[in-house]
Amino acid sequence: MVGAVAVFLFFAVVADSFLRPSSFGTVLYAASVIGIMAVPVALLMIGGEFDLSAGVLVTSSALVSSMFSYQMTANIWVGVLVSLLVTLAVGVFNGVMLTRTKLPSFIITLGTFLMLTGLNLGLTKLISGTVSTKSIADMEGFDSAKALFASQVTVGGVNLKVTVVWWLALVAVATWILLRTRAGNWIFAVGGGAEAARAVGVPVNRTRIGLYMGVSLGAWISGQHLLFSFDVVQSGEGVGNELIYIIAAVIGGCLITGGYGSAIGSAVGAFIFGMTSKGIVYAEWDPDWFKFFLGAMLLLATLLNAWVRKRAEATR
Amino acid sequence: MTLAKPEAVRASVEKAVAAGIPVVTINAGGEHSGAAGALSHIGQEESVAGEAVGEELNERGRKKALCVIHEQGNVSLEARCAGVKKTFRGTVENLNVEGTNMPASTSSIEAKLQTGRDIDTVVTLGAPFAAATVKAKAGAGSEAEVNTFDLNAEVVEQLKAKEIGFAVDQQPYLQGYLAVDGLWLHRTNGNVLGGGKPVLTGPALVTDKDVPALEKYTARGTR
Repeated sequence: MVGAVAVFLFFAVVADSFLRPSSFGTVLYAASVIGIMAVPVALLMIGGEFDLSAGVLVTSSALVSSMFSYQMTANIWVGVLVSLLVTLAVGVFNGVMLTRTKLPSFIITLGTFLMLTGLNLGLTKLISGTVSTKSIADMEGFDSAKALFASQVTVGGVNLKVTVVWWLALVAVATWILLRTRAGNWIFAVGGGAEAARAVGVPVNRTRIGLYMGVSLGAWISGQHLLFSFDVVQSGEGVGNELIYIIAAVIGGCLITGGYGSAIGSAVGAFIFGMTSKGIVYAEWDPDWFKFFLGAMLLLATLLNAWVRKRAEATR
Repeated sequence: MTLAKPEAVRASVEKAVAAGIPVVTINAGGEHSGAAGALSHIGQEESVAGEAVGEELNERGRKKALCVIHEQGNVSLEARCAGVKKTFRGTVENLNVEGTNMPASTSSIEAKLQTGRDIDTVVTLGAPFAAATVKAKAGAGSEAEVNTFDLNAEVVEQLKAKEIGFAVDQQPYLQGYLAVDGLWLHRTNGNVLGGGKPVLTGPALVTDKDVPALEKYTARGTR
């Protein structure tokens, strides 16, 4: 939290245009797009697992929705629902493979990641003939779907995208699950030590599969946003984003080894990432050095967070 | 064969040539084509294309351009922006965006347009990023003109709607067609295309005036 405030103050000082209300809308949008996925990825990491397929799964979800509607000339909502089922199925696949084979989730989801990357390109080319899907903007149901997944409202000079609402809702739901339900206790238990959890009667396998389905749900929301904000989907998109989701979760305090973390933390992480990546643009620093600045800022923000937490625990 | 990454494929080209298989290179890597032993190169000179864009921007009276690079460190993308810089009389600023992440690209362009209020034209280096810029422009309340490299059906739509000023077409269909044609003529008539110099298929600048003719070609995927 302190890290986020520090990053905010820093850019408020060095970048003139950072504090404008319109800029705030842009930063929030950037954070929300990461945040929607960072929430389920954080839960999964608390449960002790990784998902490397999360980035391209977003693209897969958008592609399925778009191409199903287009090819079947069906109402857009049919495609959207089919996409939900397919995306959830990928999550179930990841979860079942993990629990059945007992291989590290790193390997299993790496496999899914690569397979999905290939499927995205291969199937899109096979079905659409090109590397991107056809525009579905003139099809039935597009407007209502766009309103749900990619609309925006202007509040006091700030353009708020609907993704911000999705993001906050996911954070709220995930926090409730983690802190107030039995499933939340299971997640912490599984991430803390799977064998011990199983010994006290936690359904370890079901919890893990559920967590992967959570990631699928996030990917579905993000994927539909991607589709309905651009009408078309580029099949090569999404590669590399899985790392950003994990980064947001870790900046927000999730342990890579599992058992510890929070949904709100992931939101703070996404916010820090969004602020930093756009703040560098607002500050008009040399674009060639962008990644360097990004890395350095993230490291500093996380160090500050860790330092403050340690101090707080020491004084307690 | 395309020489986008010459170091990586050069050895294979040389092997093919040594085995007596004629090779024509297309698209990227014109300057490496002859050295690798290829018969001819058919493509677009990226810096030349960039220069043409710079001149067109002068003609349109633009003062400050933003060049959006969607893959940091990509040689041909950098060459395009450098070409624009060379001939454009105004100033050119580059912006690196994450090409595999559309929402992030859009918000970065939006952020740039919010802070650089005097930017009056954006040059994108690929069709999807022109669409992203049109979105970002609305978000930032900017009046900048969007121009782009690449041509596809959507860009034609946007040219028609005057959301995009002009597009730079390198006519990839022509590259493929001429390459095969060149090989056939080499085989049947001993012809060599280009005289050791690259044969350029671009830049061809297209605007809304060209749309009526273009529409039917882009729809069938040949432009």
